Amino acid sequence: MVERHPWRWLVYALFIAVSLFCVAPFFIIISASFSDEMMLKTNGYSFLPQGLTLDAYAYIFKTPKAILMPYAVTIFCTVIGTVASLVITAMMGYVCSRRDFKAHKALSFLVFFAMLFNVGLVATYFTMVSIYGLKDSVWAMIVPMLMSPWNVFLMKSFMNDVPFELIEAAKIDGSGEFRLFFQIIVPIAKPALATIGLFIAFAYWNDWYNCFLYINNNDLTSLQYYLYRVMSEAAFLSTNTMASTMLAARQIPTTTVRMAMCVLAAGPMLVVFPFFQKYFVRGLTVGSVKG
Amino acid sequence: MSSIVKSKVSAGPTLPQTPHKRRFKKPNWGLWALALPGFIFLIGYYFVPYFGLTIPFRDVNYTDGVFASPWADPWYKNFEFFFKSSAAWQITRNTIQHNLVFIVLGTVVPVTLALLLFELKASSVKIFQTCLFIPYFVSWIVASYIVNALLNSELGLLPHLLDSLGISHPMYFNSPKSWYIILPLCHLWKGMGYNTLLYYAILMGMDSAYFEAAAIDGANNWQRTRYISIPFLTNTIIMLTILSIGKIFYSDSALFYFVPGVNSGLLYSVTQTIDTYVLRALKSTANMAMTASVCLYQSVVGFILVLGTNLIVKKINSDYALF
Repeated sequence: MVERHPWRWLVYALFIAVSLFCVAPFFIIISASFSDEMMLKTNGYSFLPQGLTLDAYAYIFKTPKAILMPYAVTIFCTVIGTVASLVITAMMGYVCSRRDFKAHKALSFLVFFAMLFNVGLVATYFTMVSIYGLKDSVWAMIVPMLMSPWNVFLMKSFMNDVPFELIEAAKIDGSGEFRLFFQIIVPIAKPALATIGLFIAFAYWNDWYNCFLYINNNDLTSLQYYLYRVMSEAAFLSTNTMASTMLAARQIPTTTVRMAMCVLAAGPMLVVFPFFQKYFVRGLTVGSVKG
Repeated sequence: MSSIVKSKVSAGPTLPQTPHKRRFKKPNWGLWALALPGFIFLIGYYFVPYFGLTIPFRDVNYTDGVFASPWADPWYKNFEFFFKSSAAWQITRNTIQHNLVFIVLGTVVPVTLALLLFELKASSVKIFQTCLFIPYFVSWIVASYIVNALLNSELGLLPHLLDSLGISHPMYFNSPKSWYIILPLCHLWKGMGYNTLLYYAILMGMDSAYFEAAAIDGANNWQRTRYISIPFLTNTIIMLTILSIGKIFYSDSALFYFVPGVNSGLLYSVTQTIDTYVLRALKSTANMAMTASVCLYQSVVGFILVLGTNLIVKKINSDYALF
């Protein structure tokens, strides 16, 4: 039914250009990380590596603790946070979706109001720090994202599709609410749980905000925030790695090491996440139509 | 459609037998228990901070603590201080201005791309989709590395290229004006794939009968796009635009904070938004009560905007209304 576009090739060219616009910038970072520091310093950044060396990576892996610590912190927060958050969000979303539950409207409204009226950063910050004492604690990076109201609504709209007859039947058979939820609802809602779990994991993995706000202890830096520090602190590489005591400061390939850090920190997930693209799309079409 | 029908069925009366009906009427402790962790979190994280709404009305000192400092005199002292400063107008204008540009670009470009992608109907569509989506997965901090590598005046790719071609160019990290273009481009780069896919998914959900009918009537490509595809997207476009206007007082803090450089005071006249202003104040432990008054200003105006836009959405198409 579709005839060939006369301008078909123009459209192709456009998409190739747009794709390059999106992807090419990454090559600057990757090629810089494999470049020779001196050549980079004279020629500037380029799309192809200059001199092709592994110096920067070798330098980082001389003292791998510097990058492994933030990795450990981020993995810890992502795993614990995602599991806890998914359980809490799923239970809340499910309860809000139960129309026979008297308080379901009141609960939904509470969640909704939390999303609608944002108290602001200062109030939240001082509550976290002065009331809960969460300054410089790993939990400060986990707690704030435990239950995003938006995810609860997404979960609720997924759960609305669970046939009510199923719940009724289970109740008539004498199942308690916990058993009903964990043995009947959770298996049915697996696709929804996978989608929202992915959103949550993604949010934890890319989190810099809570680390930026609540963490001063360098051992508790999250991966993203660590990257920011690598970039912003001029003396970062020379003061934070043990190797600097053995090397003269001018020998440290600062620029390429920074870029290599960036590749090591962002690379693995950049390879993993696109495989889950279809789940992101599913979540976004549901979310955009009705929260 | 099917979900609407289903929900109508499930909302209907429960089984007629009275014993079961009675059981449904008792307070359902099981469900309360399931909701408990979420409920505690909601109160603890979202509603306890409401006490903090008093901070802007206090003379904050750290011996009494922010929650118990004496009241400010007059009560609007902190607000007056903020609104009389030059920052008030600057950050409000920047936030709204950038958001408006983002809304326009973030709609026009993805819609165009989605329509073209839809017309292409080629196997290569998947590759383009993935390429466009990749920037979505990186954080703004990684993006700031890229922007720096591209525009840095010493080593940056673009300045080097322009120099070698003999074209004059500004020092990007010293010239505020160029950020009117750089920031929207960054925003487009990161968000384009997501929105293109969103619109593309909607187009894919369209009934192909329209196209068959159009083909029989002899419509050409352009007519098909103009009279079928675009009207099909209009509703979503309008709704998403109105919803973004509801959020126009909030900015993506990571974009405005990291990409131009954290301490780039030279660029503040263009890059400072309400959110970054608060972040920077919080980090420098400046006048907390004044900073809190900025937050309250943002919260209240933001709240009014959301309510207002929702009212409009409800009038146009209640399916899209948030409440």
